[in-house]
Amino acid sequence: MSQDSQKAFDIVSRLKLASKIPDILREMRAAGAYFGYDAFIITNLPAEHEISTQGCALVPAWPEGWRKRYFERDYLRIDPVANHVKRTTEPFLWSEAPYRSDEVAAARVMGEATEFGLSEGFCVPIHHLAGPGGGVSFGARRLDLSEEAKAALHLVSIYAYQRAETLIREGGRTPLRKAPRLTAREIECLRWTAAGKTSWEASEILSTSQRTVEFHLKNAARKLDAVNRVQCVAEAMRQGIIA
Amino acid sequence: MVVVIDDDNISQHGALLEKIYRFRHALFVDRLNWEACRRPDGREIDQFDGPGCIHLAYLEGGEITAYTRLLPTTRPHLLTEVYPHLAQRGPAPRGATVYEWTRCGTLPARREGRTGLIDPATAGIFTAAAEVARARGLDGLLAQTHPILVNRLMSCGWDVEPLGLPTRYSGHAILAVYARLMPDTVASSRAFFGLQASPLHETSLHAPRAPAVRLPVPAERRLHA
Repeated sequence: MSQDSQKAFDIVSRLKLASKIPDILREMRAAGAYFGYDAFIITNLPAEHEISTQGCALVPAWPEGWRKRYFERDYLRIDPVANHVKRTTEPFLWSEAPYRSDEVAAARVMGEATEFGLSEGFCVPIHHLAGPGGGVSFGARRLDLSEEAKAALHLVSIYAYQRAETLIREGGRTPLRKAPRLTAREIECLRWTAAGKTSWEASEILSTSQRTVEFHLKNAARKLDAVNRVQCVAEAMRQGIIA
Repeated sequence: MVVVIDDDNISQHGALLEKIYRFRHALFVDRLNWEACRRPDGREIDQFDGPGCIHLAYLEGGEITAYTRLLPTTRPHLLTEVYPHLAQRGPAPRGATVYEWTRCGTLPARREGRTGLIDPATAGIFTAAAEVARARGLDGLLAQTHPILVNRLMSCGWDVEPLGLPTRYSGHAILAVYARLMPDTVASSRAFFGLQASPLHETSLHAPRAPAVRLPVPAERRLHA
């Protein structure tokens, strides 16, 4: 198995565990350093009646100035890459997204993207829900992708889109419960527990008594609504309290 | 309503089986141009239609509007015989609690439009696959599919593990996955499609006569071996 595909499988397994949008952002930026893209966007396309295109974006990690202009001017409606997503289910290079020479707006979007350092790109359409679809798009000054790297990014995009869509949908439906507040000491004890230390070992490291460590862990479990240490660590990780 | 045909009741379903083979030919060969499967008699039957195979047919007014097939992985199946190159990560899960999800399709006239809702036959057959998997105590299903359906499987509550990268097969992207059945896959599938109840015919809800034997080693553990 090649390096690109192994990389893709590793990224996918981490994306599946992403518990918040910043996790996806971090993972996809790290992937960019490997595959050679500088910026990316995970987005749905606007339906005809949609007033604002801003709300369609799931993770708009474009350069700041470009992101601002892109949504202020509703470029998602005229971007030839976005429009090509409506016509295909297969990934494509930005240069393969057709527009006629008289489509001034489309040409303008591509030209302005270049000013923000996004001259070349690759886009993976995702169409599995009713509606105009969406996808993941990667941009760079120069993007040189082998067929293998394209397939790897295709796979990564499927999971990045899915995780982002799920997190945002669930976040919107159930207002985020107020995160339980853990003390610094409780978090420290959890970290060592997550690292495989017994409460005695943790107490040695933290220069305290074993009973104190157990006291902190018990309080952490109560706050996290966990019935034992394993669930407590899992829940703390899921909520991003410990890494 | 979905009727499930397996080794136990296949003898009672001769007429429906005949309709199934004709439905498959009309859909996969005549419509989707799977030329390798073309048969002069208009009945699409392959070497995997045999013992252990489970047919799911969605019926409306006695006619099939959607269909899918589950193949036992204890026998040769598509991933071992037809698409072994798709499992680039190494040996795929196999065993008594892993089946392969194949030939999934809906009557072309009933397939969802680009902006329409997913039709009841597609919803029914997708949900029925999860319900049959649960009723038979399966761990998960292998599938070789267009990458688009990977998102749909995940939205339906399957834990989908890629077995390789997407590759191209006669002009389309295709990907092998292992979809692990989760405690809430059936509920999530119903919720995704807006179904209130099981699409299975009531006689299909009971566990099969010979329930699948649990393997000593969970099948998924071998995924990364």
